[in-house]
Amino acid sequence: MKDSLRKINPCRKIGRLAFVTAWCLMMLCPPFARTETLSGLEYQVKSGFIYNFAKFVEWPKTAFEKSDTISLCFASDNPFSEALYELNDKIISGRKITVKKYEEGNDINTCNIFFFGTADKEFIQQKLIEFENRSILTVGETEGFAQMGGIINFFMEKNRLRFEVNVEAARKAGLKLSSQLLMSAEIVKGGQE
Amino acid sequence: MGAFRDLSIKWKLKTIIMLTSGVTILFASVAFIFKDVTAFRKAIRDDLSSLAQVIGLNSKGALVFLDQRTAERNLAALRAKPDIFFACIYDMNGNVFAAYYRQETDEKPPPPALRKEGHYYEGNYLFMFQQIPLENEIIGTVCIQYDLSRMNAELIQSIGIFSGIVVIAFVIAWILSSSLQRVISEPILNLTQTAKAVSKEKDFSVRAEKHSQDEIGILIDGFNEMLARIQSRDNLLKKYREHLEEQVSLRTAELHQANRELLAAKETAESANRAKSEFLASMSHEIRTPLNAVLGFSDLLNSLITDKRQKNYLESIRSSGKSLLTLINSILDLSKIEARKIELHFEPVDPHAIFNEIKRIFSLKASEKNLDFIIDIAQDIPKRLILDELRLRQILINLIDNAIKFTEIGYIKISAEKEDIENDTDHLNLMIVLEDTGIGIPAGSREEIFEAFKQGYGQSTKRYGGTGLGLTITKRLVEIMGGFISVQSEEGKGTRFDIIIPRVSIAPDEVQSEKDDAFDSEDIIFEKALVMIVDDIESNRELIKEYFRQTDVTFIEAEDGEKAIPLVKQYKPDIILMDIRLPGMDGYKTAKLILGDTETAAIPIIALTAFGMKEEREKIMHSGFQGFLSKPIQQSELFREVARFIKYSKKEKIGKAEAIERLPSEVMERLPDAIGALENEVMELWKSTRKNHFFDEIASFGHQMKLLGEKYSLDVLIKFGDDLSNQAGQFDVENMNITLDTFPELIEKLKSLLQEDR
Repeated sequence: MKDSLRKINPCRKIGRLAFVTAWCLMMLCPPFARTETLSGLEYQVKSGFIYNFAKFVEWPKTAFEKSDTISLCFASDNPFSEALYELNDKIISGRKITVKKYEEGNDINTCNIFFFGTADKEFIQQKLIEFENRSILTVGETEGFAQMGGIINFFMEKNRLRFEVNVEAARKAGLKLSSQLLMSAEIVKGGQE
Repeated sequence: MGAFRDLSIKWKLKTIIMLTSGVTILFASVAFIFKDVTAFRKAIRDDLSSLAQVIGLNSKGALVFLDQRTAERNLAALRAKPDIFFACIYDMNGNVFAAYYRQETDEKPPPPALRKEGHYYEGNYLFMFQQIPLENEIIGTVCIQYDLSRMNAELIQSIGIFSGIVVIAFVIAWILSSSLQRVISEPILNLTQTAKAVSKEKDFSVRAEKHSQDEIGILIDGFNEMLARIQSRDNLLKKYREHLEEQVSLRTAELHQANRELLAAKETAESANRAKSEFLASMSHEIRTPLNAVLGFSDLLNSLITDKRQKNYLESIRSSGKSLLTLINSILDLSKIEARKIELHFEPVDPHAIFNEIKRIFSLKASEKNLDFIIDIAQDIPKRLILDELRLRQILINLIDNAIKFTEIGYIKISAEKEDIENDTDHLNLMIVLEDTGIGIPAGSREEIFEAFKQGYGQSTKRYGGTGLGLTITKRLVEIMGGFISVQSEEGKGTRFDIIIPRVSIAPDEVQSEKDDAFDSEDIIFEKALVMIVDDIESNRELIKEYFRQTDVTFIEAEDGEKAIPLVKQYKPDIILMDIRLPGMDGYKTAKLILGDTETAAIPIIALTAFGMKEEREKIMHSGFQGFLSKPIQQSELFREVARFIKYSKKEKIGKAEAIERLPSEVMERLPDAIGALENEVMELWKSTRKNHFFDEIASFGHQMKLLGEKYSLDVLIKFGDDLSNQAGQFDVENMNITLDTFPELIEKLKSLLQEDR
């Protein structure tokens, strides 16, 4: 075990981190987790989940025609969401992850994953409409995000971080979600209309 | 293995079959069970492995998204497999993420620690660990614990079934082997029974039954054939046995017959041999008597006839008669040699003396034929050699006789020399050479001359006479002595005979032998003296007395030391002659006792020893003896020793002639008459006798001389006559001739005595 610890690769590190964080969230700091305040630990877990989502999602081939990287964009005011930068340069199925923070006016066409680190429903609604018919995996953390047309939404259940999936939205976005992912997810129906 | 060897064939076969089939069945069963178990376990492992893989695959998401519920749901699917006791999923840190227990178990043992991928058997359980990969990392491990107890129960059950099958197979094999072994063992048993019966009852008419054509069948055939042969041989033997006694008696009879014949033949041979001996013995007499008559009457006739022709015939008769006589004597001699009746008498002799004597015998004959007679004897030949004097003389006389016979002009030379033997000072090789300038022997007959009745080629018997046996006898005599004789010759120029007598012993020198020349026993006249002789052999004593016969020395005698000592004390002799080897007390001891007694200590003692060794001589000289004499004792030596202790005077020398004792005065008075008679009538008779060489004539001449000697009291003449008639009577040709030839010397001696007296 010591050897494997020493040789630990970045991906594993993320996984470990995510797990430890989740464990802490679940066992040690329920009051802290319960609060609406977003802590750094929580974001680290979410970052790990996002990394793993990428593993269980299959993009259409056209999505990587322009560049062979998985582009992770995020829009957030929360400074803890900077933890996503940890995923930079990680490789999934031979593709490198590049993390970009979304600024107003940025071109979002290159994004493959978009994380909404905000509860601003207006912004979310606008962006979801913008992303329509594009193969972008949208991830949110606001109640009702999935019902709005987002594909994956984090939520807390009994101190555990869980997620819900809008299968219809995913289908519309041309993304195939692995059954592995779906097995652990709450399935949500409905679109923005 | 030894026990197995002694088993009967029946049991051997059974054992072999049982062992073979048993081992086969056992191995087959074990292999089958082993394969079954292995295959079963592999099936379980494969099953578990795929189950674990499916669970792992389905639980990837659950693991990644920390979804314990989903994972447990996945594990719960194992309920379909009741043998799975426990299953769990470990997260990447090795902690149990989700677990499953078989429902019926109440107690929940702690899950096993995480291990590497693979399967492990532990106690009653099989553990299967299957890692769960995602992308490039292992995100967790599935573990399934399989309960083997049901499978083991099944295994025991199947082993039981197999054991049952093995036992049944054994039983069947036993039954089969019991019945099948008979096929082989029964004929062999039958054969054995037959063989036993045959050897027990000695009935070779029994035959073994044959049931098959296999190897055993062949064996039985062979056995039967052997029996048949034995039977026929038996019958033959029986026949022979019946016949044998008859044959034995027949053969015995034949043998007896042969023995009788052999015995008869032996007797015949023996009687023939006896007859031959008798014939030879009597022939001398039977043939010689008429022959002498023939010769005698021819002599008488010779003086009566004057007719020249008749004289010639008569001469022929005479010479033929003489030849015949010589021939007979030679044949007798040769037959003695051939029959090995000749014994050699070796004794110390002086070869110089022998050669001188030879010269004396033949010089007259040689001078008659105007031949030079040369004797050349090497002076370094020792004076004492161990030889048979008589035979050596015979050899020389034969050869020289021949030489003179066949030589008309020139010389006859006899020479002798010695050859030393390396590293051996006690022996030498004696080489004698006889050369003549006679007619020689042709090359072809050089070897033949030694064969009986062969004379030189072209030899005229009439001219030379002879029997043709002389050389044969000579050769045999040389060979009996261990020597060799060879001949070289050139026809018309001469002949040379070489004789080699090897390894002739040299007798030890006489003590003070250097005195020999100065001392002449014949010159000694001893004064009155008393000499004692101690010797157990009478003849020895007599000999010594004989030597002193003409002296004033008187003797006392003793047979041994015990008798000698009191006599010595009583008579106090002037000198004692003592034999060393005496019965009882030996010479040394006797001498010691005599010398130890003050009364007798001054008496000189001379030892008499047989043919002394150096060591013995030294012993004698250290034992108080005054001197010693070696046997056979010679007069001169005896006198010399005795003269050291007894007073004597010396006679004047009388030339070379043999000493004749001083004669009493009455004898001396008649001596001139005797000499006159001898010189005249007797001389004529001697000449004719010597010329004619008739044995009877010589014998009668000897007799006459004896009578004459008695008439004039001349002992020498009596001795001469006695010797001559004895030698002639014994046909001792050589000695007879020698004696006969000494006659003129005898007259000379008598004459010199007469002159001395005057």
